[in-house]
Amino acid sequence: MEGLTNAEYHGVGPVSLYDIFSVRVLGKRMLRTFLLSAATSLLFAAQAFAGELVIRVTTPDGKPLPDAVVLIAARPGDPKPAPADGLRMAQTSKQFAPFVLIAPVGSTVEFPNLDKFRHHVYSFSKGNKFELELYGREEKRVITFKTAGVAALGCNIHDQMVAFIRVVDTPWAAKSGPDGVARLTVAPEGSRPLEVWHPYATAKDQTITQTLSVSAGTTTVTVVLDIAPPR
Amino acid sequence: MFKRLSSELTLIYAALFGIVLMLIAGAVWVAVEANSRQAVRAEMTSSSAVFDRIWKLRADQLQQTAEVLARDFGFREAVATGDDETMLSALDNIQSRFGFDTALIIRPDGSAVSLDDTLTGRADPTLLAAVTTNPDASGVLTLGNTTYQAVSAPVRAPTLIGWVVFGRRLGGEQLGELEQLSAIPLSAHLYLQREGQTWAALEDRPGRAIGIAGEELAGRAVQTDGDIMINMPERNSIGGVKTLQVFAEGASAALLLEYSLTMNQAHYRDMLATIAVIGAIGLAALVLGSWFVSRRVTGPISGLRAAAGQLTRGEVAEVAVNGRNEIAELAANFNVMSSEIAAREQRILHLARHDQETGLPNLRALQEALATLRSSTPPGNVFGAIISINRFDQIRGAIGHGLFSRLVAEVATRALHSREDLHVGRATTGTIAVVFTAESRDAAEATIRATAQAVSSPVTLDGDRIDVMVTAGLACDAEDAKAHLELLERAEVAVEQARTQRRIAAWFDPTVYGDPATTLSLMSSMIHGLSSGELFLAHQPKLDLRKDRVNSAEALLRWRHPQRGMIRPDAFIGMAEETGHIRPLTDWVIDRAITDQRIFQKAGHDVTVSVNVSGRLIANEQFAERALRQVRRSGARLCFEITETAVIDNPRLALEVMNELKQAGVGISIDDYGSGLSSLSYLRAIPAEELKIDKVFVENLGNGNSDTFLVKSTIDLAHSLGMKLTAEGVETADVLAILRAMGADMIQGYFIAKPLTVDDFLAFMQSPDAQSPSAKAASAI
Repeated sequence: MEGLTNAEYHGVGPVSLYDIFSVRVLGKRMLRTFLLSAATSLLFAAQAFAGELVIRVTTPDGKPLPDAVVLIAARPGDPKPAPADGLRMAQTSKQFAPFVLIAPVGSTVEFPNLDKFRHHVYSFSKGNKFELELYGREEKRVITFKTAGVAALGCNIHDQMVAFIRVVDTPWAAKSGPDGVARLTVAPEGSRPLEVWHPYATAKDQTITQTLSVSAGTTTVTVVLDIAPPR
Repeated sequence: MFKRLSSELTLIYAALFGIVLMLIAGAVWVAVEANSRQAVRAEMTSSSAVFDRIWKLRADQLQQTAEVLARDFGFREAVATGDDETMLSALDNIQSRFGFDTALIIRPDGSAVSLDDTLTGRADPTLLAAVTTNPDASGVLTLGNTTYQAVSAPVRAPTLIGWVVFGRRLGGEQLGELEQLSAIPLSAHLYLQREGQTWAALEDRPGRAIGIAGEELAGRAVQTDGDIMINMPERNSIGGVKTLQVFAEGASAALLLEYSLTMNQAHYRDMLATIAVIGAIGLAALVLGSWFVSRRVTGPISGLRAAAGQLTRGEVAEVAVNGRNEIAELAANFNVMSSEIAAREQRILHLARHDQETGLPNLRALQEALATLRSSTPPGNVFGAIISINRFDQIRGAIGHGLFSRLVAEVATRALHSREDLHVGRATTGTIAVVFTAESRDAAEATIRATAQAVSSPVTLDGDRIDVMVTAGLACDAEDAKAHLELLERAEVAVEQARTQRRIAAWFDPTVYGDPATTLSLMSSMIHGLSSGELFLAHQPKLDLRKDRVNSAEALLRWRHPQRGMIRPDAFIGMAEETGHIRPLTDWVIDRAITDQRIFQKAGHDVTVSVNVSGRLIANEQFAERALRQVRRSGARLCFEITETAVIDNPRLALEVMNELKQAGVGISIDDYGSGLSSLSYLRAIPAEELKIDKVFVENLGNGNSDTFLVKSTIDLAHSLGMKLTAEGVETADVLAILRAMGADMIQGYFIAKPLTVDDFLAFMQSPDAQSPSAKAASAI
């Protein structure tokens, strides 16, 4: 639980609360601020690491880039992330929601079908290959992701449906919001490489890495990521 | 140019028709040329559209197939999981199902998987670049040595995990299929230009190469109305260029659709051939038609022409008159003209063959009859006769021309009555001619005598009784024609000969007639002889008895002909008088005598030369003038010996001339006195100084006849008239003695000397005979 700043991942709040906000209100700055401050207050006492990292992710032309995953890879000796519960990759209006989901290794993600029709969700990603053959909204489907990496999700019926689950084995991972800002509330102090990943980034493995030094207090970093959405 | 009008008309029509046909054909050809180009352009545009459609259909099929495959779940799974076996089997399945020629999968990392081992491994960088840039690439793609129409489709799972590339071969077979699909016959050629290379044809069909370098073609490309066209005049074709989409950038591809103008023009050629056939048929019809029509027009003209030709040859010509047109009118007029010409000809012929006064056949008609007789009878049996009315001048003068003509006609009629197969005609005013055949000369003469007898009886004309007497001349066609006279001419001569002999009828006698041609030829050679020296003067000395010496001579003309020898003067002088040649002859004699006398003078002998002058010449003024001129100029002493008969013709002029001659110093001598008709009145009038008594009186002197008295009285007469007397023909000393005794002044004769040439004369003058003739006379006694 420690070190997680991701509200979705954190899963601290009541389920009902998550349900409400992750889907409908998530992204709304007011709520998020509320959640973050709640999480921070919860984690603060137990954390050996200190320092807040604010990463501003932009495209080369300066626009904020949402859905970028920033993480600091765990080193041996670092705390392992605990599998998170209640992670959901919903299908609604022939779209996955969210577009990018961070899941610690071993987490089980639920794939609720909120549409009236059926979906056939699959992933051919190495280590996280699965296939959820046609199911409707009454049917509950869950998948446990055991391998760190990227699971690219698609629907065999609806080509336009694309989503990514980033399976991580580090406690320090966060996703940029609509403002392009990702926050790692309890980042490990010292000089550590920061990886920024986006499914459509043009860089190798869709990732750029830069080393930064986190000190006590808030460290703000701006990362520029070039993306090329598929045509 | 043409012998026949119909040929000319036919040719002109045919030529006009031919020209029109040529113009039509030319116009058609020009239109075809322009149209075929236009039509080909249009057809090529539509072909191009068809091709576009086909190309797109093929591309779409490839694309759809590629996309279907790329979205197949199992396939995607296979690609995503690297299940190459499954992928390849799927590719194989699709390839065989749709007949694609190549298929491969490219992964974003650049690796390629294909059933074609040569394509497996690393993907061609341009290919990778192409699909990376455009996952749905489509167009011409060359892989290895093979060119394809290729498409690509991305494989997403759901992210891009690779591309499917499908291709259909592009080559001769496919171009052939394309050609088959075209509505118009064309040949399709694919041209490629790879990056950095030149345009080159992709042509694997034998014998289909265009044979023009790709670059050359590219240089010729012209954009017209949105189409790219290439002219290939060397192939008589035009090409439409279709730029093809290429799969990968950097290369270019173009489809050249070549359309042969030759093929397009082929059916126009058929049309031209049809025009030509129609033209030929039309021309034949026109030639036949115009020939027929012109024959209709010119047929009568040809008839007229032929008839005119007949008329020209003197034949009777008649043209058939058909219809009532101008030509028929012409033909009718022609016929009238033709018959009138024939009638006139008959009249002219009659006139030509008949004597107008008497209506008897004329000489020409008799000649024709003679020709007819000659063609059927041997010459010895063909005879001609002229029957001449005696004293016709007097009869005609008495009864007049009109009655005389009737008289001649009557004579002819009687002659015909005597023997009916005689051909009788009028020869001259007072003669009729008869041509006939007879068994022999005697029979012919009997016939003519009978005829003469028949006509010699009184004729009563208008109540007047006229006695007719005739003389007939006969000639035979077989007679030797050396006289150069026609049969009837000989008969005419025979009439004169009969009159001379006072006979009623006589045969032509060539020996009596002589030969005028020979005479003329003799005169001609005589004139020639004057200049060539054949003629010369021989001088016979005259002895002056009073002075007893030779002081004059008579110049006598001699002719030594190179072929005929010596010709006697009487053989040609009389002839020269008849033919008028006497004038130049006497001129020459006078000149010669003057010359000879000068020769004698130079030798010391003063000799008077006597020249014989024809009585006819003495009254010729031109002659007299010339003779006087010559004498005066030379101062020669000449004497002109003239016979007194000459004076009678024109006594006044002759006496005038003689007086003039006398004044000029020319002596006048009266020659041959006593042999002609001597007139005492003229003897008194003539201013002569010498009288030469004819030798016939001298030769017989001393024989006791009356000549002695005649000579003696003549000598006395001469002396009493103041003239000297010269005696010619003295051959003996006795005669000389008698003459001397009678008182003759001069003697001339062989006793003194014969006529001598100039040289001999000079020699004679040196001899004792000339110096002392009396001595000779004495010794002779």
